[in-house]
Amino acid sequence: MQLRMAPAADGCCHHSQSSKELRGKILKAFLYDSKHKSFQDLKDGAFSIKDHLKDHKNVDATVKELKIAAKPDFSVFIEEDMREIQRISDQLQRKPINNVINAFRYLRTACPNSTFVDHLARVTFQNHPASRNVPLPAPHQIMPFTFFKRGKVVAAQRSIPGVDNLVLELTDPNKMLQDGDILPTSAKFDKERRIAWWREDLGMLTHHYNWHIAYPYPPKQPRDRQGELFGYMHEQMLARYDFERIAVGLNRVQPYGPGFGWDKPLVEGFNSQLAMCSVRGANSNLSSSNTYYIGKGVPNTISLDDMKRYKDRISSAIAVGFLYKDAQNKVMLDLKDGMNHLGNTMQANQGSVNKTLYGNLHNNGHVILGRINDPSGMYQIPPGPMNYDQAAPRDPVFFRWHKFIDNLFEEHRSNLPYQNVQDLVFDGISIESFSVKLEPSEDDKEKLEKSKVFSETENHFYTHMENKWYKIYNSNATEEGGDSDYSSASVSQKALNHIPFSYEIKVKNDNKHEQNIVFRIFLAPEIDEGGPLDHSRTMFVELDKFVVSVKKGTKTIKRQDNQSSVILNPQPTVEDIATKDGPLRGDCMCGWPLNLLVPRGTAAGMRGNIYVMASDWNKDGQDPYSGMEGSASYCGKQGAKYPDKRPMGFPFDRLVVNRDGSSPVGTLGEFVEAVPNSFSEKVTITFLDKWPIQEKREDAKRASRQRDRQKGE
Amino acid sequence: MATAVDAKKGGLKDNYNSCHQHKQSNASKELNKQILRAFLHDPKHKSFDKGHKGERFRCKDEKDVNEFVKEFEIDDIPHFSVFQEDHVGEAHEIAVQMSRQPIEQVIDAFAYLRTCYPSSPYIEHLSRVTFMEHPRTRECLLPPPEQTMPYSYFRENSMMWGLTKKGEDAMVVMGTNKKHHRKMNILPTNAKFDKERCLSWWREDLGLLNHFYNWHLSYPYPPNPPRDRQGELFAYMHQQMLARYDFERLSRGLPRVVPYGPGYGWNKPLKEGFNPKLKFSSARPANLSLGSENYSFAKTSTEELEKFKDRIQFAIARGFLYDKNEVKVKMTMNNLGNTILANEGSINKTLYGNVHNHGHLIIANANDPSGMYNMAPGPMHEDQTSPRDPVFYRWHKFIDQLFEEHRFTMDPHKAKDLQFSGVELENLNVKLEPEDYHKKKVDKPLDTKNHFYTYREGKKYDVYNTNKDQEAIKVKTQSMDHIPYSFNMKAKNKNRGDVMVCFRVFLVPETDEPLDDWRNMFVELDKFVESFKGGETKEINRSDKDSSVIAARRAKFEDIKDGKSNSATQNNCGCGWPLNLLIPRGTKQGMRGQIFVLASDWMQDGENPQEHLHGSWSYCGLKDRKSKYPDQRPMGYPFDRLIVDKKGKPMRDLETLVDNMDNSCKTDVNITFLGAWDDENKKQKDDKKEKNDDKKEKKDEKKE
Repeated sequence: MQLRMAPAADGCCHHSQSSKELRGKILKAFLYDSKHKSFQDLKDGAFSIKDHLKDHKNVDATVKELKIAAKPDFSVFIEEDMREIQRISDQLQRKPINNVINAFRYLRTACPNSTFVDHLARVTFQNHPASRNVPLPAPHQIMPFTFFKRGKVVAAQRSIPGVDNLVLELTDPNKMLQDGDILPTSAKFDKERRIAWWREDLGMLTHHYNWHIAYPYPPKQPRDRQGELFGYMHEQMLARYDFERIAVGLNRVQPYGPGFGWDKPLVEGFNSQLAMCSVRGANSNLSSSNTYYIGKGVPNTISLDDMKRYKDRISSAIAVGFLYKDAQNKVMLDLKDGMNHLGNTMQANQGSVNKTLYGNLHNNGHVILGRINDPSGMYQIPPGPMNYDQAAPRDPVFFRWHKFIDNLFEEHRSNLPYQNVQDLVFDGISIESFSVKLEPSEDDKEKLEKSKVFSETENHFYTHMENKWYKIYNSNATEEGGDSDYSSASVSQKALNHIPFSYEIKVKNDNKHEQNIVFRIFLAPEIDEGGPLDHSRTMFVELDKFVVSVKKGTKTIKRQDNQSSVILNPQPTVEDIATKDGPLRGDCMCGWPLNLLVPRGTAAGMRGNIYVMASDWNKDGQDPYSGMEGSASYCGKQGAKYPDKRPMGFPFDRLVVNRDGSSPVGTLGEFVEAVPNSFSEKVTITFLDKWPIQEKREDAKRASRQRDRQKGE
Repeated sequence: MATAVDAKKGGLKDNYNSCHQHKQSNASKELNKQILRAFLHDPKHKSFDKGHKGERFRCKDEKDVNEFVKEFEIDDIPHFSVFQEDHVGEAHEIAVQMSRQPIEQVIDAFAYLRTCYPSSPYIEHLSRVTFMEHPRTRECLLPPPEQTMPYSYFRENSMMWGLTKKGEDAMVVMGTNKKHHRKMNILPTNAKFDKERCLSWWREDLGLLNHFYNWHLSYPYPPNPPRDRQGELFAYMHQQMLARYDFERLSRGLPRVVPYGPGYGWNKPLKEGFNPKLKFSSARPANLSLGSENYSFAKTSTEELEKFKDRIQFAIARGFLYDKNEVKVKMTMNNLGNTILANEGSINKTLYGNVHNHGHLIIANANDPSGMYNMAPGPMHEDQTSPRDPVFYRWHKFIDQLFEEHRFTMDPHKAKDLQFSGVELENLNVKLEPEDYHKKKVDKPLDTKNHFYTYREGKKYDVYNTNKDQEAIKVKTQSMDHIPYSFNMKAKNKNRGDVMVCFRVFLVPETDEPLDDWRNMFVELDKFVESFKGGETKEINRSDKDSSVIAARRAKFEDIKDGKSNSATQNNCGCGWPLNLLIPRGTKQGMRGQIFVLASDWMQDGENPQEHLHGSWSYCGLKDRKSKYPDQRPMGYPFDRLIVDKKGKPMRDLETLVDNMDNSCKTDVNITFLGAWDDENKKQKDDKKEKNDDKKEKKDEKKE
């Protein structure tokens, strides 16, 4: 019964040794090339790709053959756009890789900041047989205008010696230079601004972007348990968001959707300060227009009434326990597959049980909220962030909309048979102790000393803000000494991080034989709402899930935070791809960022509970001989089934009742008492608000350049 | 410049010529060239040769700052608005101080500021006010604002096209290339199914925008004391804009403008959205409701404004306003206008508020009243952009509605009071006078009598301050124009004595509605004075270019630079209706209208009957701050109020009015729109040809 452990560095993707040469070529397909031959004899700079397609000489042959033209306002939430992606990508995947690379080099230079081209390129390279395991550059480096505020990119360009700042000022609104643009998104008295740093975290945005590339909406067939994962991944985002909201003194997210207040004005306005998005004023009225233009498909409009109707149908399907597949057949919403069917139907992917009947609730909600400024497209006002998967989580209304979606899932969860504590007991296994150990690096120790924080080393998380520097491409800035063909600039952004820690679990196996045990670790804020545990059920945040085989007797298990099954392993940067030898990971790049693994907490110390449960991996595991590698918890495994057969979020996926089968479990303490193979511990999360981050801009840049040089050497 | 008219010589024309000959001296021409420096951003400016990196620029923090800028603590005002009292107050204060300084240093200071803030509306406003105020530059010509501040006048994307055509890298220019591929953005502002779009060419006409911008520069809101009859002119100028806009709306099958303001539906959502596509303005979604919270720019709320409006209406009804000492002040057009405009002539600002300006600010900031989301205000915020927005006209229709209330309280004109005994007009007609250029463009025979023809053509503008160097880029826009014409009529003076006759010419769309309902549709085309000897009969011939409403040809930036600017004796205020919009567009089939001319006694009407009048005095008064409005009659006379017949009943129609009075005449006219005279058409045809060629090629390929 030995567990087959995959090598730690390799992750889920057993990639071939992608040659450095191919890697470099594919990288170039993501970079704007100012010397591209097709654009050299362009008479005037004013360029339209449609005109170019008519041109026989200069246009790339593949692009011309497939008639690829960038779609403005492309959105993954619009079915028509996704079908177009699929049509082109399917054909590209049958072409020789060199032709594909050339096509994308052409497209990238023609439309350097098109979200359509970026999405298409990623889907194509991830699925093309020759490039399936080749690492792709991080989206925020390639698409700076969609991941960084415009003011920041402009400031980055401006800070480069040799670039005349006056040019940039002239070509940019002078208001871009105002402090407000570099500050968090909204002015001080907007309370949603308090957690703008979280909503605008690059890791979180990249996770959401890549999740939507990996788990597509039509016309592809859905992946294994896609619908359920759709529900779970977003539920976890909400749980984490709520955790952060409580820490900064905000209430939990309120749902906003049909039947949940969207007839009334939307209180939260939002200014994303992204180049491609328009601003939504406060108290925008969704119901001021009844029809919303949703693209070229049929029908090309959706009304708020339609949305209400679809929601009512789904809601009543949940109540009666089945969805109608067609005139004769029903699909039961049972414990095993119910969440999945429901999720597929709401995401309206190809797995939707009946799209005609249940509509396209989730995606159309995004489009409607994205188009709130100009429902009919009459004024050509660009859409808001909700239209784009890269930008949607920046907007507070994203979470309100997903809370509405999650409420529908909750309706279903509350219909499921209760989870009896008895069934959770893993015979012969008990957890004797469980704790979190702080493992500060030397640097951290020094800073802790400096900031005079008394640090507890047990059951105490410490978080702090730090300044991160990112190299960006395709922004037309040339950094000193950089490659002039592919110019780059540096942008800084503040991000949360925590002092590294590990879990220590002492587990006792009373059985005679060795057991493969899966440990499920959760974190929840301490609340005194009273009432049963179920009230805070959706507040439990998954921190980790891992499998260990334990022989008879007692074993102490140690697990590092950066091994977590929810987080994304460090990905190669553009510079790595361009310069590093040897194998590089080529993951799907979906996964929670390590720096947001632990919520921020408060300066005074926020109290929470950490919870672990051991269960039998021989029963739970899809393949009991392999564990949960990579960021499997939120992203599954590429090309394989979801590794854990239990409902996602188990054991907090539904109501847990006491042995008598009717009374809900009261507290976490009662829960642990009834289930000896689980354990909970009180923890404190302290936010080190005086952590030294005030590096001077220039110093930091110099430092980062030096670091780069050293690395290079 | 006022010269006595020697009536015996009938020498108006001579004097007119002498005015033309009044040239700028060489010295002032040199100075005029110097001024241009203050309007151009200078990448090689010595204070910036080390470059300026990163953080927001502040004059205060700079070492190399210009000493004047430092002394007067001048810094940019973000989101500057002439409708904001603080902003205008500050600009005025600085301008007054600056105008006492030596001119070279003032120019230096502005050259510095312009380099810091190349496209700031505030610096633009401040420099214009200063140069108009400064004794040495009062007579100088200022470059047209669309050339020095192009981002406020041209759509972002036409600017982008201009820049890329000049060879700038599209990436730098766009920041993001997304819009680069959307031709849509260069089309008129709104998509096709927005019915307001069909008049965007009119609302976005550069001449009109310039007129409006310059009007607000020369007729300031505080702290200057108001000019002569400023309040009345405020009402009249906007009423005329509305009349012209309504004329254009009728020709496109749109209803007349509906008012929007307190008590006129502004508690309900504003139907019209608008996307100006300008760099500095934000778009407004359709059906936006005005929030009831405090507006940070106007520092007031919609309900407050409603209260002020009620007080003004009450004052109109009672016929007097209360001043600060509770003394009653008679209600006149001028007092009412000053009070609504809330300039220094307002009778009581505490009591009657600041309705007109605050309405602008509230509507402009409806998207983000508290400034919570750092949103740029909409086009209604600034004087150079507000006439682009359809809601501008709805707001001013509301303002005009208040003036109408007052007009109703006045005693009507009796037909006999309008008469000028002994003077008779007849044979009024409009004669088309096409130039060779027009003859070339039109292939069909034109009707030369009583027929206006309009056409649209592309125009190119050289604009500055867009780029890292001081070179201009070319930006294209479309504008309407008409084939030149002249009025001809016969005027008889049967009196024994000499008379001076003022001819008031109006254009109105044909209607069968009662005259008074159509009263504020009368568009002033011209107003001019002729002197007659006793018993003299004259053939009057008056060209469109001489009209009293239009602005003289504006000196362009290049003209000033080359010293060619002396050919026009223009007011440097630059205000006046654009010649190209003098005649409304009409329709392709021909829209029917009427021209009406009234002769009145200038010896009675004229403020100073001997004064020679030229330039755009109808809408702008005269250039000199202290001079009086030349015409003593109420502005818009005789259509400033109800006209009644002998029995005291409202005059039925224009026909009866003319029948009742010998000193008037009318003629029916047609206005035909000839379509676009443009290279665009050719291009489209070429495109079609290309397409056809493509198809042919494809067919050929198939055959092969």
